Amino acid sequence: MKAISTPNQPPRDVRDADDLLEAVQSAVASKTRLDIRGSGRHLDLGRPVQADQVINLAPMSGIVTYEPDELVLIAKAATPLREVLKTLDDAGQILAFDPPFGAINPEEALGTIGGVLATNLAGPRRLVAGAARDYLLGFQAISGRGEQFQSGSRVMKNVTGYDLSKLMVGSYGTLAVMHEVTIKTMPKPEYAMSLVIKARNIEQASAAMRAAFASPHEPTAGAILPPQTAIYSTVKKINEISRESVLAIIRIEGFQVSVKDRSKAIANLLKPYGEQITLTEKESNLLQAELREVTILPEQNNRVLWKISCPPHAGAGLLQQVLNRPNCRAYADWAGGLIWLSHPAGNDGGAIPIRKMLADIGGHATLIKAPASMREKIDVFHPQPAPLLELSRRVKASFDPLSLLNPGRMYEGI
Amino acid sequence: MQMPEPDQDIIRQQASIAADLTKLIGKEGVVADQNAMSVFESDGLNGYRQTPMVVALPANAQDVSKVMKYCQERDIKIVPRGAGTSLSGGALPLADAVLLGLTRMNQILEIDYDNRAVVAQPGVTNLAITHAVEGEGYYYAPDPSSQIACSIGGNVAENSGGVHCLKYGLTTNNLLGIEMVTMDGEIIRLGGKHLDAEGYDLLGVMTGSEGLLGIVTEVTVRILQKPATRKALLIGFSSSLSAGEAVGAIIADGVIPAGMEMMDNPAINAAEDFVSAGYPRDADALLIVELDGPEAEVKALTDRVAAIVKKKDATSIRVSETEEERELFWAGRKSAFPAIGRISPDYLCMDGTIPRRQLPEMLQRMSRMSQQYGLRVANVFHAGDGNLHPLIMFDSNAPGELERAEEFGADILRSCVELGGVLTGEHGVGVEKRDLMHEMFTEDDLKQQQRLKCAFDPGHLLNPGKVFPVLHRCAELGRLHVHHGKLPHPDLPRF
Repeated sequence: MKAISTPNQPPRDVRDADDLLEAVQSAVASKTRLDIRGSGRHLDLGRPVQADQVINLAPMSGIVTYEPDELVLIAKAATPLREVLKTLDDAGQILAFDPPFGAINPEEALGTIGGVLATNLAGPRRLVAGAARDYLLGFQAISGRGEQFQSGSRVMKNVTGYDLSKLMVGSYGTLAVMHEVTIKTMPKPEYAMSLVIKARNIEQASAAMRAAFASPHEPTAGAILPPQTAIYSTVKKINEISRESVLAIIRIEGFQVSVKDRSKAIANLLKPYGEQITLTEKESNLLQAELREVTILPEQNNRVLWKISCPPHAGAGLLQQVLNRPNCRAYADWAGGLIWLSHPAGNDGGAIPIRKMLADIGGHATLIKAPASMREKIDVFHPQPAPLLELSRRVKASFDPLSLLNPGRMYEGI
Repeated sequence: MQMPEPDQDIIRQQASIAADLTKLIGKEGVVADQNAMSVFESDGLNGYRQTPMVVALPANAQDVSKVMKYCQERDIKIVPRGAGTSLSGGALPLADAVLLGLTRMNQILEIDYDNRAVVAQPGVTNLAITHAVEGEGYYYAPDPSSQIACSIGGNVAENSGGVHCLKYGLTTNNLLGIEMVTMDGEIIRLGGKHLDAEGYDLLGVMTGSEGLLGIVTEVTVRILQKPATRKALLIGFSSSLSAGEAVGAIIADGVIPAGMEMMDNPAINAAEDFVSAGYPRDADALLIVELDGPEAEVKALTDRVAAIVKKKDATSIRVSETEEERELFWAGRKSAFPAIGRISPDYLCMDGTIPRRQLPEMLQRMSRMSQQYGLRVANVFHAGDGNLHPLIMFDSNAPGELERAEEFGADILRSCVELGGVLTGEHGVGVEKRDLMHEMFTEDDLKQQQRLKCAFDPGHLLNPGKVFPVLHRCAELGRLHVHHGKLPHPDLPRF
């Protein structure tokens, strides 16, 4: 097998749903394997695809309906994320799952709404607000059989029959090509700030995190930054204190009166855990963006990036373990439930030891950034037990029996 | 209601099947006596009844696995059942099927405050989870009205909601993981105490799959800290149009209330007759808005909501001053069903969902239909999420009234779909709405759903006759669409 496939047919732009239907039906008839792309921003995510033709969805763009008072937005799949975020912002709303978009500022956001959903990526708010999978209410798609189908709808209790929206989110275009998506929007919090606790070590930062999230004061996000990571923050206050301690960062969002009240209560509660400073809304937003985009782990040659999901309370131990490995940089988000790890590339990016660490505590590790040659060789997504992998294969076949859509993007044959 | 033709060959083997199951999971796990089985003959949709062939009550996942393997090998159907509170007939037995009851698996296995999660067996009731953790200030958010009785495994099967789902989500948004047994007896874990799936989100698909894809044998849910304060507003309107507009205006203002319920005039009066909650009897529509969270926030938002509804021509506004008063505001709403039961010999409780802004149109249509069918209807409505519960009143002793009521109900659901909503809200499809699925889905939509079913259960042995109006054999569903009559690879394997 070649490392990366070279499409042997010219790429095809699709104009609309009918055109897409025709394109997939032709592919079915000629058994042409398709590489499905929106903006192409997420091409390096997942295993390299072996395809004969690129299907370019970019022309299928535009917001179809937006009703802020119904909390619903319907858009063509390749609508630029930038456009979606701008439209929501104008009405005082957001995508609550806080998707990373390749930039600090929303105006510079890359990618499409379809791409965000296909990869199920979510930012720091995921812990309390849910993931992309919690916000796709319904969709229209073409299956790998060349059939148009829909599922879900535009209402909050959206599902009659199976919840295929959940399955589509995070399926990396391997089941069907979504061409129209209906998403739930949420009001933008009126105000936000962060409390920073200068903890003695990771363990103490984690204890502070546990106390904050076990309180009724509704923190909205929580991160743990060890010194060797915090030093890369462009938030001056964070940078300045980075050498002294491990930082536990609690973000509090909501109505202004509520944020003031809750931040006071949390500050009181966390007094025993270390000296505190506060970040203004602007500082807090900037730090939140750095954590969301993982820019706080600077990209370097010969390094790979892992996204590790684990039980939140196991996060501190795991963070310590990965930092003990030579040349690793990392931080925890989701109150400990997510570890971002920058690891020396080596042969396998540390896949074996990292996944071994998870065997006892539960969770999964995904290789987010690595050269194609490595993504071909090792499991990008966490290996699944045989019965689950077999079930996943049958699920794939039920949508795409000839394995024409982004073949092999997730697992071999899936 | 047409159910799959029972297999007489299987029914004839009833005694030997019961004996085999006894060998597999012990005699305390098998019920085969006709009288003893009568308690299982229907669920919350009690118009439909069927004695099961035999009842299996497994004690653990290994038992479930043994029963599944046994049935798979012999082509015996299985109907899963939790607490039997389904309102759509999801647990309706079949004459030639093993009824698999999960009620013996009723232990809370782990309370993990560090990770804010509870691990429970499927037969644990929804409310028992909250009871187990409330000492530490926690609760489990989804609160279906049957929460005292309904099981957490059944909640997963039906993706149950409750009055707080606009802010806190449905079961699917609060479920972290499950252990399940597939039709071939494999025990699989999906999710856990961590977030998100490593591959396809099969946990999301299992949730709300109405017992057609696998048997849930363990559930991990997230628990939340109870909000510090709760307040409710009781708001009267002289027209449902203004009430509907008020709901939209509150949300557009950025307020997501914990609960937002609406009742129409017949429902207001029936409830007031029943519990004397102080509801405004002359109001055309009543809104209950509940706000929860930190005290300062609740106070500020109460004022904000009051200001918004005043602009939308509210005719009366009361704010609960005490916890007792808040509960009294809810008492009327929560007793709406029995209140209707008092003024009518029988009623049908419907369940459908519409975009919120279509409410006035829906109510107008319903009032026309009410005249057309000559039957009264009262409405309670989860206004926050668009879930409508019309209560159609009839007398089953009056010839033809049940049939008229059912047709009236079907018309309401058709209207839900026409107005951009769906056939179901929180009661599932089951057998009740199975034959209406074509109102919402094309043949291709339904076939794709059924192909997914085939990936889990190729023999259609798990809960057949539910959800899908037409049972296609999996081989038939596997046929590929042929474009312009040319499929050049006749040698390809078929799935």
